[in-house]
Amino acid sequence: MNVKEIKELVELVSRRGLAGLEIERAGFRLRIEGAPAQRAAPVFTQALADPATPEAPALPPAAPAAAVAQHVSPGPPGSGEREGFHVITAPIVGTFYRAANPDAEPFVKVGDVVEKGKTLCIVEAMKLMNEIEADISGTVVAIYPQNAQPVEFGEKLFAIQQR
Amino acid sequence: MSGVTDPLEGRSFSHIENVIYLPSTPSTNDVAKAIVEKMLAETEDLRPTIIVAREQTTGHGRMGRSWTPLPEALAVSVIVPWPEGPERVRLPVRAGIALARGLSRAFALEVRLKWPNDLLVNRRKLGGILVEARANDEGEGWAVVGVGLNVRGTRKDLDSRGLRDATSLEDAGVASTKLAGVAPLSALLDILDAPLGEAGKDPLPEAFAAVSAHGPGDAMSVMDAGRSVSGVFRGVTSDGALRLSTRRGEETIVSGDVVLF
Repeated sequence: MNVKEIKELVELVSRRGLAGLEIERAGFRLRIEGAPAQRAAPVFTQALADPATPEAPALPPAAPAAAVAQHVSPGPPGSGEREGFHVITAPIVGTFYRAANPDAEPFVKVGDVVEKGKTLCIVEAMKLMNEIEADISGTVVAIYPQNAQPVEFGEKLFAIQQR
Repeated sequence: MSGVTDPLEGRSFSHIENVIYLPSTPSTNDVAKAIVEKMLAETEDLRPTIIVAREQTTGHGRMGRSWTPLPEALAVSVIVPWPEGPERVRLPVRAGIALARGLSRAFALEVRLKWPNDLLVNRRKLGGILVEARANDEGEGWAVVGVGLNVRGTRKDLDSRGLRDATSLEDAGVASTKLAGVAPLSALLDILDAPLGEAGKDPLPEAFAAVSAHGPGDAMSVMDAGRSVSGVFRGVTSDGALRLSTRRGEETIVSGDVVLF
């Protein structure tokens, strides 16, 4: 499954107002959650199917049946990936916000092309508004937490397909 | 140059290198963030800089909440390097403690902190702090500490504007000599003329307790993004997070507004 196909699924969930959609194949699982109450773009999350590699990137490096896995190069944790999906994690514990304030447009949506340095979200702790920036240029392919959801240190926030 | 006056009357600072004084601006934090970008683009070096506005027209608080400007309020933003490691997340509470201590000393007041860093006198809001921060992919970071401080405004003025929960230095009974001219600004800059991240190396639970508006055992409610948590105040953690005893046990709260206390 490539990014285009994933985007089509995201749009399907959004267009039909579906609560969600889940696809499971050998080695990987894709879940897309609709967010109709917030009138926001659907949030899609991808979960590892292989419990033996909890420190691995968002998608399993060894998933023979899944085309998505071809985009992933493993790399040591924290190093980022030179090819494929690059995962951005929370640098502090806090509350995840997709926009600067409740009336503002989200900083980014799934499918947006972002330049390195672009603000992706805010993680707030103790009235510290911590702007998280894209550390590579590419396409946003996943936004993991819901808006205003608490996130832990190191929790996955975004997946970006490097340009 | 004729027509240009130095509002700070030539005074100098030990830590602050630049003071930018604006008669009026929408938001000193936004100006500060633009200056940071320029500094990093041109020199890759942050210089301790303060932006001062006599009038801030669209200042904002947490999540874009508006900060109602008073006719004579000070808005100041300080650009500081973001301390590394665990001190990062402690900066907002450390800044609150530094300001509560400094303002109490400068104006002979008892300034208390409502968690995490609202500045209160007699349980009314004298000022607020909003920290906006960012780190690059090398882990280097900067922070802008924005401070709003109500200077003038009698009780009657404040009530007539519907600001029953607000107070000002004037309302708190500060002597008029300390409110004249640039005296309040000068006092505020003195407090900020120190690395805020180092303000009080004391462990946060004890340092916060010394200026806290909440006492152990006080009932309180915290609202965050539509959720409400009620419980009993148990102090703050070593990072400044709120410890609340609830029916489900002790909870640690990292973001939200204390709405009932």
